Formats: sequence, structure tokens, C-alpha cells
Amino acid sequence: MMDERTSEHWSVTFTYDAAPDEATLQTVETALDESSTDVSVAALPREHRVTVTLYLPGPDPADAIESGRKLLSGINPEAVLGGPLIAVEAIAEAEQERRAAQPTLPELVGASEVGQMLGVSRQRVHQLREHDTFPAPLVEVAMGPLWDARAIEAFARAWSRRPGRPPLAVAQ
Amino acid sequence: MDEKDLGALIRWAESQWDVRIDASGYSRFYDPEGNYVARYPATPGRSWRRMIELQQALKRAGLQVPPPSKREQRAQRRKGAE
Repeated sequence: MMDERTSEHWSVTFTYDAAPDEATLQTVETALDESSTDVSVAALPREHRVTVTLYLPGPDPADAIESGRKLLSGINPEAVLGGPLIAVEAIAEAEQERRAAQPTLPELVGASEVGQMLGVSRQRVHQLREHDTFPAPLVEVAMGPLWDARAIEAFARAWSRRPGRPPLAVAQ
Repeated sequence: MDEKDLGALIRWAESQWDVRIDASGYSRFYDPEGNYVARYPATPGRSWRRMIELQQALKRAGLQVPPPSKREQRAQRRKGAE
């Protein structure tokens, strides 16, 4: 038997403009579980959306979407969920796996970590914030600013550090 | 992705959200406002797909996924204590 990880499967996601209750979502998922297809039903409460994802074989994404539409027509999800279909996306299984592994947040660093990365004191970090090319923090919280570590790394690569005090500006 | 990853994801979700196990053994995930988001069966057929979809569902609903490593979580706690 062919390993399903190596065969061409598509993750096909149907998105509905709906916010049904938990019992309704469970009913849809249970009904679809009875098919031999892998199914996931999820809510996006803040966006008033429901996604129904099916794993379907097929030579191309359009074929997989058509298979999904046929499978879903048996339960009439728009009527059950209480909202229209607003998007359909088919993604190769390997690509879906790659996307799932992508972190939601970048690595965040505070002034102490920035100091360690640049080899300067925490106080110097706050002076460097006056530098035109120093990255703006992603967020400022009560304990201080937080930066994207990758932005600090990019700054460190481009930073031409000169020893000693910076020269005084001379009035013209 | 394996059972160890699932355990780490559930522990992380429990620390941020509400996770309940229902009578059928499903882990049910609720966001901080108490809204239901997704569920994960006790014995899924093709667990890797279920895990991927769970990660995507939790991520779309606002949970940081994948969970930070223990080292990153310790660093975050240190930052919080500063």
C-alpha cells in the first residue's frame, strides 16, 4: 500500500462566514468523520469564520476542490453552519505542513538581550535607539521595548561601530 | 510531528487557553474569551494530519504556535520579572 504521506494529497479548506455554536460545529465534524476522508472543522471566533478542511487525493488542486464540494454537498454546510461559503483554498499537503510549522511570532528580545547581541551595555542600547538605522521596537510594554531579534541581527551586521565618543557637531 | 509534539502543544495551550477533555476523549480547545476553536481526537487515524490542522486552527485563532521551547519560555519568564 502506498504511503499516504508520499501520495499527492491536497489540504482543501472551505471557509464560511458563520459563527455557529459548539454543538453545531461538532455535528458537522461528526457527520464528515463518517466519510473516509480526514476532516477538521475549526472556528475563528474573532473573525466570525468557520473552516472545514478535507484531505483529498487528486492530480491537481482544482480536481481536489471539486471532490471536496461533492463531499460537502451531502451535508449542506451553508445551511447547517448558517453562513455562505466565502473562500476555498487547496494546498499541497507538504506545503500545508510547512505553513503549520511557521512560528506565529518572531523571536522577541528586550534591551538586555539586544545588549548581549551587540556587545554593549543595556544603557548603550537605549542610546543607540537615537541612531537613524536602529530598528523600532515591535511593542513597548511597561518593562520596556521588545524588538524582533532578526531586525537587531540585521542592524548588527550593518552597524559601523566606531570606538570612543561620537564627534561633536560643529556649528556652521 | 509525534505524540511528544502533541503533548507539548496541549500543555502550551493549557497555559494560555482552556483545554478540556470530553467524555469521548477529545481534547477541546477554547480561546481566552471561552470560544470553542477546535478539537483533537483521542485516537486519530492519521495523527500527523490532525496535528497539522490543529496547529493551523489554533494559530489562526491567535495562539502562538508552535509552542516556544522550554528555554524560550524560561527567557520569557525572566523578561517578565525584569
